[in-house]
Amino acid sequence: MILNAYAILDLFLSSLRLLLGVGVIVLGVSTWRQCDRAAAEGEQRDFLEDRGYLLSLLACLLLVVNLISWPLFYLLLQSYVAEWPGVMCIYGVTQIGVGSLGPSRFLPSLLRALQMAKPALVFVSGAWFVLYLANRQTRTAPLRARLLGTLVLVGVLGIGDAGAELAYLIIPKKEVFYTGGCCTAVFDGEARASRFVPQALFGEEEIPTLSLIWIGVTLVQMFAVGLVRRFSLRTVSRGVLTALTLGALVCLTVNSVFLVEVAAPRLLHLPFHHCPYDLVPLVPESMVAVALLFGGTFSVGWATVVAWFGNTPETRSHLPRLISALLTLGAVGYFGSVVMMSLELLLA
Amino acid sequence: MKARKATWSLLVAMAVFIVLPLVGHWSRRSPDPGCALDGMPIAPLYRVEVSDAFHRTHVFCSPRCAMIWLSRQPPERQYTVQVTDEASGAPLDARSAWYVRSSIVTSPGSGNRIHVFRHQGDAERHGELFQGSILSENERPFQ
Repeated sequence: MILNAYAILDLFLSSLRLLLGVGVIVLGVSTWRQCDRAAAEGEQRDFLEDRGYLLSLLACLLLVVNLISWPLFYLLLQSYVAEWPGVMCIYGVTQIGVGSLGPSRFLPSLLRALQMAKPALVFVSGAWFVLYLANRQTRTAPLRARLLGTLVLVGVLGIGDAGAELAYLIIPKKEVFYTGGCCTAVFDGEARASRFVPQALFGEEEIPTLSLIWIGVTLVQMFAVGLVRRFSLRTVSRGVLTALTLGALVCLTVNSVFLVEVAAPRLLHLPFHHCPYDLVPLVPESMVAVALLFGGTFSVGWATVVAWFGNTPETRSHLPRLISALLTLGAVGYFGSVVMMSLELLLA
Repeated sequence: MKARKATWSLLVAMAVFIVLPLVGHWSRRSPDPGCALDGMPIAPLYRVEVSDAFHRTHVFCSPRCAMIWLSRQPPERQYTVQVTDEASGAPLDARSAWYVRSSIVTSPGSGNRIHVFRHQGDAERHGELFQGSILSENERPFQ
């Protein structure tokens, strides 16, 4: 185990998340059971209300620590870079354990799983929160069962993520033979973000085209979100929001490819170095643009979740305002991301 | 009141979106350019410069990084390569240099073990001292 300030902080936060996850699941499941019984017998309402408040507080705390754990995870990986002589950036850290026969052979797959689980966990936690906001404005809490279901899902995901993170922290790394720390190997090679797209599109000559696609797709998505938001107070269909979410996924993919292919090399002043990990220590403010993009994408997704799962006769009158607020956040996220990234690229 | 608050929030957000990149750029005003391939700092003794037909120069931290980069370029393109004599630190044409592969790694990131010398004597001496051998005509980089 490598102990430094980030590792200790991460250890504490992961343990806390594990405990909170277990607590949320236990409380959530027991409340769920008692809800059914109470509905049948018409009893224990006060007790259930109190339990509901406790559960909401625990869930809000879990949401906050889940959110904090995402950047903290990358800061931890960045702090590990100096531990191995050949490792230059976070990509090198992710390669520690590759080809190893000891317990460290699990490290790369753990890191891959964690990198995918973090955004999923934040999204599901946020989905619970927006449903909670919709439910709070009602008298009879018609979304209680859905909220509890989402909360149990958040707890399960949180436990998995925290467990994997604790395992990553505890598994010994020092004894591992280092196999390759240069991030150029993977991001310039076959396994880079654009591997599912024809290679010819992403030659050096295609940078202007890729830049046009990036700005075009992001602006179209931003204006689409703005347009839907404009009409959302009157009427907005679930189909439109679903289409907007699909657009958000396309936009996220295009932005990811653009970040690896164009933005990272330019911002790093290294035309042949397609490594987005290096942006964390060298151009940290570009991570704000990335965070805004994720914020925009998630907000659109949350608006769709609310439209699909928060729609009951009692919530119907409140939903347009909530959806409108989420879409505003989405549009601001896209706008901020595109403005910041464009400025960064112009100045680079 | 609420609308005014929203407008102010939006204005503050916009100011942050504009100011943050400017501040970031200002704080990194004069960065030393690293290796064009992997961004590592360039030690003067191992510096390699590759110039293309448009007189654009790409600087690398080791012969290995330059070789990796060149292998990814279209074969029809022509490049001029300038390496550095490890004994004197002086630049020289890559075609006239002597290359030794030895146990000394110059750049941990790329794992470069190729050393460059102007004179055959220096190359042989390095090879004797660090279990190295002079690269033959077929093995020489930058052909």
